[in-house]
Order: sequence, then C-alpha cells, then structure tokens
Amino acid sequence: MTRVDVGRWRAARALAIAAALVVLAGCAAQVQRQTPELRRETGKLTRIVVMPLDVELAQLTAGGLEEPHAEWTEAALRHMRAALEEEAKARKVALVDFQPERGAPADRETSLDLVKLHRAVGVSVIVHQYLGAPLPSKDGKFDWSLGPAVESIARSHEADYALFLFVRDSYATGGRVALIVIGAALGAFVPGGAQVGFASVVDLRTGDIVWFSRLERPHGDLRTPDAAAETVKALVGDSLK
Amino acid sequence: MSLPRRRFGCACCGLAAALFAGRLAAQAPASGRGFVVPGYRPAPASDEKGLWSLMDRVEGELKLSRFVVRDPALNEYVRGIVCRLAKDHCPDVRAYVVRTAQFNASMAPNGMMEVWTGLLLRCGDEAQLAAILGHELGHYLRRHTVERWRDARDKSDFGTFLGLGLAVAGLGAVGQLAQLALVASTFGFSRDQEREADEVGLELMTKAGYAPVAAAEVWEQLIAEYKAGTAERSRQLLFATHPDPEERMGTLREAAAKVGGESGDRGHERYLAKLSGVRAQLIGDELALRQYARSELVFERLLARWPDDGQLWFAKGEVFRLRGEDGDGARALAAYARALETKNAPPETLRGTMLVELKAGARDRAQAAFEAYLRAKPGAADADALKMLLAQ
Repeated sequence: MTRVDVGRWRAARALAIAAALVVLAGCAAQVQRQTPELRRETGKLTRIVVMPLDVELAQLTAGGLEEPHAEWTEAALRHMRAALEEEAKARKVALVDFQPERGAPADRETSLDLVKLHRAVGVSVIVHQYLGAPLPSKDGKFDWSLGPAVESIARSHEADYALFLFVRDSYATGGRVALIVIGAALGAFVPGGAQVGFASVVDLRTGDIVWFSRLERPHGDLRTPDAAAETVKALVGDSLK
Repeated sequence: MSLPRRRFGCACCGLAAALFAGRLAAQAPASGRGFVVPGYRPAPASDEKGLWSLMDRVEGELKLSRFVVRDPALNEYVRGIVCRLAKDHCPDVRAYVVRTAQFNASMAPNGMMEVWTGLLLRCGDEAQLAAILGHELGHYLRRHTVERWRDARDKSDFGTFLGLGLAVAGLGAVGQLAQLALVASTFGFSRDQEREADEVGLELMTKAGYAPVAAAEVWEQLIAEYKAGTAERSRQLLFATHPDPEERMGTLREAAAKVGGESGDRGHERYLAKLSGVRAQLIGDELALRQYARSELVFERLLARWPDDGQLWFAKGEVFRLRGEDGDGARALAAYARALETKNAPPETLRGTMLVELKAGARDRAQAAFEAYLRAKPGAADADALKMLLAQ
C-alpha cells in the first residue's frame, strides 16, 4: 500500500524524449511570442509574479533511474531565484514571489493547480509547436493559454504577468559515467545527465502565454550560482522587454 | 572480430557481477530490524532526503486538494487512532482522508499517510481501521520506501550492466530474461515488505489494545469482494505488489490468535458515530461506481454489523434500484421499507420508493411516496423534476 509519486518525473521523461527528437530533427526556433513586448503603464513598474519554481534536480543512476536530490534542488531554487532578479533588473520589471497564503482559499488552490497545468501545457507546446506534430487548428499560430483562471493570481498579487518555470536537471552518477564509457568503447550511445525545461510569461488579464521558451541540452548546471545564472539566462534571456 | 568483443563482454559482465553481488545478497528486508527513532530526519545529502523532499512537495499540493475530506470530527478521530498506534512517532505522521471510493491507504516516506474513503466505508469497526493504519505505519517505521528505492536502483544498475555485457557477448535474449527476473524480484521485494508491514501492524494494534483478529477480517472481506466478480482493475493494482490475500489472511489469523485473537477493543458503535458526518457521501461515491455486485456485498456485510442502520438499508435499496434487473424492484422496495423502520433513514429513501413504484406502474403509491418525500425534505432540489415524472 505504499507508493512513490512519480508523476512529476513522467513529464521530465516526456521532455527527455522531446530533447532527443530535437537533436534528430535539428529544430532551431527556441522562443515563441504572442506580443513583441510587455505591457507598461507610465509611472508604474510592471509587476510579474514568480510562480513556485517547478524544479527538480536528480542524479541519474547507472540503470537510468532519476534519484531526486534534495540539497541540489534547494540550492538550485535559491540560485535561480537570485538569477531571475538580475534578469528583472535589466528589464526594469518588479518580481513578486507567489505567496500561497494570499487570497481566498479557493484562489490558493486554483493558483497551485495552475503550476501543474503549466507543466501539462508546456509539454503540449513542445510536442505540437516544436516537434513536427502541429495542430491543424493552430494553423501555425502560437496562441496557447492557461485560461481565465489566472485571474485568481492577478487578484491576490495585484500583478500584470506571471512567470512559470519548469526544469528537470539530472547528473550522471559514477556508475552511469562508467556505463557511458563502456558503452562508447563498444559503440553504443548511453545518454548521460540532461537539462530540460521551459518557461512561460502569462498575461494575467487573459491567461495567454505571451512568451514561451524551452531548453533541452546535455550540459548545464544549477548547483552553483554562476552556472545557475547561465542556465537562467539561456532560458529567459530572450524574454519580453 | 567477434572473439575479442565476446571476451570483453564477458569481462564486463564479470565486472558488473563483482560490483553488485554484495548488494544483491543483502536484498530481502530483514525482519526484526528496529523502527526509526521518533523525530527521525534523513541526512541532508542522502537519497532518502531526496525522496522525502519530493513527497514534501506532493504533500504541499495534497493539503490544498479538494479531494481531501475536511470534516473536523473525522480528521481528529483518524488522527487519534494514528497516535494511539504510533505513540512516540505520532508527531512524525500526518494522515489525510482522501475522497477515493476504493479500498486503500498509502504511506509516503516523509510520514504523509493517505486514507481513502472507500476504506473508511468498508471497515466494520475502529479495530479494522486500526489494522490498516498500523500496517501503513509499519511501512513508515521500517523505512520501506527508501529500502525499495535502493532495491530498484541496485537491480536496475545490475540489470543494465548485465544486459550490456550479455548483448555484447551475443546473448541478448538471455539478458532480457535476466532483466525480467530482476523486475520480478523487485515485486517479490515489495511483497516481503507488505508481509513485514502486516507483522508490524499487528504488533502495534495489539499493543494499543485493539482486537488483533480485526487484521485478518479486513482481508477476509476484501477477498469476498473480489470474488463478487468485479474490481478487476483494482486487483491488478493492488495484487502485483501485495502478497496473495488468502495467504495473508491465513498468516494474520494465525498470528492474531497467538496475541489475543478476539479479545480487545473493537470500537464498533464509536466508529459509526464518528463517520456520521461523511457516511452519506461515502455511500453515494460507492454507488456512483456502478459496481453493483460488489456494492451489494459491501452493504450486506455492513448491515450484518449494524442491522438497524437506515443509511445502509437505503444504500442497499439504491443498489437494486440502479441495477434494475428482474426482481430488483421488489428487492429495492423491501430494503427501503426496512430503512423507513429505522431512526436514520435518509429522505431519499422515499424518493427511491417513488421511482421504483412509478416504474412498476403503481402511480398512487408513487404519488404518496413523493408527498412523503417533500414532507421529509421540504424544498428538495429535484422536486420539480420528480413532479414532471409523475405527471407523464
């Protein structure tokens, strides 16, 4: 009667497959936008709510299992949040951390459900927008949305936009490295750790994803401040001004 | 060309075997290990902490879920039983009642326990619930999740190296078989843990003064439900990782007999009283599954324990009304009539009576039941719809 929740890792696995497909397809476009720049009112800083960062770091065992690593994840969350602040300064926007205790109880639940929804929508965006499985109804347009439920965040945080960010980052263990080396010697490709993720800026008036970026690569690190800053830049560096 | 490759493959295989033989030898969960200490927290950089933190985040989401049953009396009650069983470990365990109409409970490594409402509906008394909660506490106290994670990790490590070695040696099919054996052995490991949790559960409930035989009864009841020929999907889910329930029931019955058997607290009336706030919902959720053979058995079994409970007679009547096979109309009416003789028949008993009478063409009796329904539940939301049915 015991079970470990693996749902979070399933999305990561889908993305890992996506990453492999990207390599094969040689897909180039990274960023998608619905609008050229952020909405700005004179005399006011545009406020962006940073939703709980959906980030997990893991070590990749020889057998290919991803073992969650709490210390790395905690460090990554700290470093990434600091790096986001730097990016915000450069764009003259104010970042507000999402605070679950704000707002009415129903709003709180909806807000956190939106993080999970973003996880699902983000994977769909990657599959249908980047990986050669276009939806006929989209007709090439980028018009994805989290829907009007985002108003709950606008209400509780008095903000204009929300930033959603999803990253799964894995690092090969010694055993995995040994397998990679042995595999390479035998002419077999054994994948090592990888960094996969995506980020969205969502307009809190409509729920529309006005900007979307993705990242899939076999390198990158989130465990140290400088490396995390590099990753954050790679993910959101080209975001709306 | 093939010769050196083959030799390398074998060397590789030998390397893997040397690396992992020691670990595999110590796989089965050893009985008799101690419990975690109260207030236990895993080391910060450990694999166990990784699993805990992951579940901490899941728990953060669960706390806000609309599937968590908030009824304060029920929550306090379940918490009380957990504490009676867990004693010093009580502060380390958090129990959540989750609205899912299946028989199950689960324990996360960080102390997050889920108790499904389908389980609450099925227990005949507090001792039966305590048996399940004790079992779940056993998983926590013996750190089964991290043990199983390490087992799966080591076996998948071993299997990968083995597979590579055998593939290189030109024995790919053997590699697949070997990996299948490893998968099977992780299931076996899980079943060993379940047996161990059964032992711990029995120990905890006996120490807490509950009648040990209740642990065997739970399985007896579940077996009967499966034999009712439904719930095939649940069977796969539960039984892949759990021991054969017949075996389990037998083992528990023998073990329970040794430590007191029938004697001990049952909490029969108390259980019914504490569940009263949510029982109508639990019954409705069970009926909504439309697994009538199973539901009939469940309600009949509960009626054997509480023969004068109007809610249960109503539920039994609903099973027949909704199934609607030959003779079910008469069965439903008999059950409703029995419900109306009790003190706590829900008003919907009269609604059910009306619908069955109407279907049988007894308009006058349907009309009378409808009027009685409106008297029992003035302003019923479905009054107009029922009136329309009567007018047809």
